[in-house]
Amino acid sequence: MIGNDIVCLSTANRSKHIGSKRFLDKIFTVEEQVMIVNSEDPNLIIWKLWAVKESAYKLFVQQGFQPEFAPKKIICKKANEHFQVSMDNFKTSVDCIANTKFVYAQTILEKSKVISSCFELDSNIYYNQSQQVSLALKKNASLFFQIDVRLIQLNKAKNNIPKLSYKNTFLPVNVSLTHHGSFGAFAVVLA
Amino acid sequence: MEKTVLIEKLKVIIEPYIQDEDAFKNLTETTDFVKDLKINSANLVDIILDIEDAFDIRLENEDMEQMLNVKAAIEIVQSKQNSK
Repeated sequence: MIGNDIVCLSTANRSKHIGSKRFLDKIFTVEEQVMIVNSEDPNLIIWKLWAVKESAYKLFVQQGFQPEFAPKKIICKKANEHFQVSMDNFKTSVDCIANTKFVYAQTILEKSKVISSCFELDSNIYYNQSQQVSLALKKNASLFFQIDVRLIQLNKAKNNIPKLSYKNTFLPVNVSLTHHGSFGAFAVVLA
Repeated sequence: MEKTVLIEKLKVIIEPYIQDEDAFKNLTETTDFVKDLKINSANLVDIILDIEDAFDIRLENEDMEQMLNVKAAIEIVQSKQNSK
């Protein structure tokens, strides 16, 4: 199982309330808020922690967590280059990278090889963006399994969990897709 | 506050964050913020804080957890206003 999340920084920083006490209190634990206020670039840490929580949440939902909007219940602790994330009995380790344009977080349960890619989107229309990310994922699956990309379908199962199938049979992979602002990403791992 | 007035007020708040115009035009009580309007979850907190300001209420984290669609948002805002 796999979860990922991308945050386009120029889009995210348009948030009206970012960094305000009320904003921080709604999303972050006290420990996370300390990380944020002690940082030289608080907004960057805000979105890193956000992406880390969001990617872990996607994984936890696949593990059976019932969807709800409770970012503060997802607790992040920095552990060397990773984040250790927990929510109730669920736990995972999340990797997070950042540059000046976007933040990307990813977490995987399996030990097998992961293919993931972050890229700039051609369109600013939501539907086209989803299509571009979905097609990029399908092309990779097509290369990997040596199957016709046109016969690969992406569907959302229960709780919005994405599934790839070929000729109406699920492919033995777990996938996660994300896009925000000008950037998109997918990640795929053998199940 | 009447429900229709409340929905109109809510629409003004969420419009800047929507990514699906058609779903917004056809907004009903069952419209889901994330699944239908494609609002990015990073913006949900902005919406929650805008709702607090517009209706002069304070939402607890338990309220926020439920606010996944228009109906839930209306119910929570109404109950907060009634208990003022």
